[in-house]
Amino acid sequence: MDIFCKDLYYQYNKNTEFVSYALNGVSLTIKEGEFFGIIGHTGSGKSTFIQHLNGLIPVEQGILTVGDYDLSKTDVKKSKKEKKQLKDNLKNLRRSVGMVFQYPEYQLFAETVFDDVSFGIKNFMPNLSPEEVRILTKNAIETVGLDYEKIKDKSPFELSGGQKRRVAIAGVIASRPSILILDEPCAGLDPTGKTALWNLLHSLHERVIKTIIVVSHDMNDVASNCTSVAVFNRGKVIKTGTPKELFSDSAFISDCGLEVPVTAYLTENLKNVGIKIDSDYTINRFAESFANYLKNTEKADL
Amino acid sequence: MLKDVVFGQYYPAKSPVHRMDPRSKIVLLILYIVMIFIVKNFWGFLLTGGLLLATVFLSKVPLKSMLRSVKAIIFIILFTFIINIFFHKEDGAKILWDVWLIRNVTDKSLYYAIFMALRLLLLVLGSSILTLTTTPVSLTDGIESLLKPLSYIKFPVHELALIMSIALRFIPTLMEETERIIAAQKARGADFESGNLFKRAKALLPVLIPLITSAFRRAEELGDAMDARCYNGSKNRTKYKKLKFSLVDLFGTVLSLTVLAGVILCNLYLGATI
Ligand SMILES: Nc1ncnc2c1ncn2[C@@H]1O[C@H](COP(=O)(O)OP(=O)(O)OP(=O)(O)O)[C@@H](O)[C@H]1O
Ligand SMILES: [Mg+2]
Repeated sequence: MDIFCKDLYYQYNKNTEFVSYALNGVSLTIKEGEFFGIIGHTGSGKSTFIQHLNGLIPVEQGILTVGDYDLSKTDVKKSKKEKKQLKDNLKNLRRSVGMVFQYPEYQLFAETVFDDVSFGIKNFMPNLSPEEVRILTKNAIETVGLDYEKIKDKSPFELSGGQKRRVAIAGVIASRPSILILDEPCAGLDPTGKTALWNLLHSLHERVIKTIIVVSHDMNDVASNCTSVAVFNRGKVIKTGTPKELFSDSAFISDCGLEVPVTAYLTENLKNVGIKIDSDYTINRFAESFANYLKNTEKADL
Repeated sequence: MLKDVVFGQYYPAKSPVHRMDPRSKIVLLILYIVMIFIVKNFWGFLLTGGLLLATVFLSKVPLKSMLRSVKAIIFIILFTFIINIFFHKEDGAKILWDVWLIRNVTDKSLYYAIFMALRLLLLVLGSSILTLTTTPVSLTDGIESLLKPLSYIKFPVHELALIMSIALRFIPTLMEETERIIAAQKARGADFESGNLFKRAKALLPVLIPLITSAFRRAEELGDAMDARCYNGSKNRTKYKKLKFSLVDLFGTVLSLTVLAGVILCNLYLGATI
């Protein structure tokens, strides 16, 4: 499922004195299979944008299609039957586009981890047998790296923060979405938890979920993990490209109220003292290139 | 959305009404309510309505915001209007309509119904002027200061005011949280709009439980933060913002008292019709 949107506008508290212009003409295409990063200063409209993608915020103005679903605003009055159809469509859309909000652990509610994770499955696929529900739930819990037998009957409230977040993510991926959207999934995690979460996302991307969209404030993570990045600024997408393309222009990035990743910073500083290193700003590639450079100079010295 | 439901939305502006001492605003509002209830003919409403309009004009609050607070209770106003028009009985009333569903409508009941609806309307508009021009914080400050005498009989005035201001402070936060949780559960396929009443109530569970746990979490955090700063409501606490009775307050008081006198004169000399 590709995502295509053009000139998307959205205002909160429309027609009141508290109006805030959240989206001011977002145009963006996200291809299937991408590990897509969304960056931008606070209040740039990232969260507002992603909530359009599964119809949580109805499109006010502009064009938006997600796969075969056309979410664009239509002014045509609808019959009851069409409305029902639309509602079913929306449900299917929400099944295909999984959304993990910021601090998803605060949305856990059920008595047991099993009930919480299977909540989405039961909503989206009410006709499944209990055994099928159990299999899907078990799969989801194990995919996020938790021990199904140990954890399934526990209360979600007695887990640690990191475990809660995994359970919450399991609850979203349980219904097998083909697009997974995460809003700052690493907020409040320790470095190990963070690395583990990125690894989890990569393994999901390789095995079950075609497209992953991540909103993140950590440029190092974005540079190391994403295949493509969009920069939001004041409710607009002002640039898209690979991390390499974006972060090589550090002046532009800081104009947007952001910082370049450490690797880009180092590359630029090294360039200033006459050492040219070519890398795509992932930590691994940077280290490789730098090692190569050192080897070459050693050879030259000999 | 949810936020529109909450009344007490403060409208920020620089105006004499905003500048007034919250205490005098509260007292004058009470005075205004008393006026509305002692008014006995439409001349009185003309005066109190004039006072209201003048205040709205001075406060720079747009009419749109005023009307929003009416929207919240328009149902109650309509309901009392309909009840009164059909069930108000008075001697010597002339029947206006008595056909089909519209039974027993007399000139007196129509008059009475309009009168009562107007009374409610003025009441709501007047009260919303207070909440629109006063921040919740200074409102509680005002209430605390007005209730101060009660602390001599060991009534926990300060604690009460603190509870009030904390509650007010957290209403928007919890509203936001509710919206977020609803969105998150919708994303997991929760359906709050279909099914019978029982089903819908059950569907709210995935919203209420996280909301309540988060309210507890916030309460705990706030308590810890206050403890960490050695907060206590002891006697010698000073205020960051001192309340002061100034010229605008004097002007407001004089104006209100004049209108009160006018209302009483109207009642005495222009005939009581209610
Ligand atoms: N529920 C809301 N009601 C009113 N205004 C809102 C609401 N949510 C967001 N806004 C406003 O819309 C704008 C965009 O907000 P949004 O949450 O999309 O930004 P963001 O890019 O996700 O920021 P952050 O990085 O801080 O999460 C901001 O100016 C914000 O104040
Ligand atoms: Mg956000």
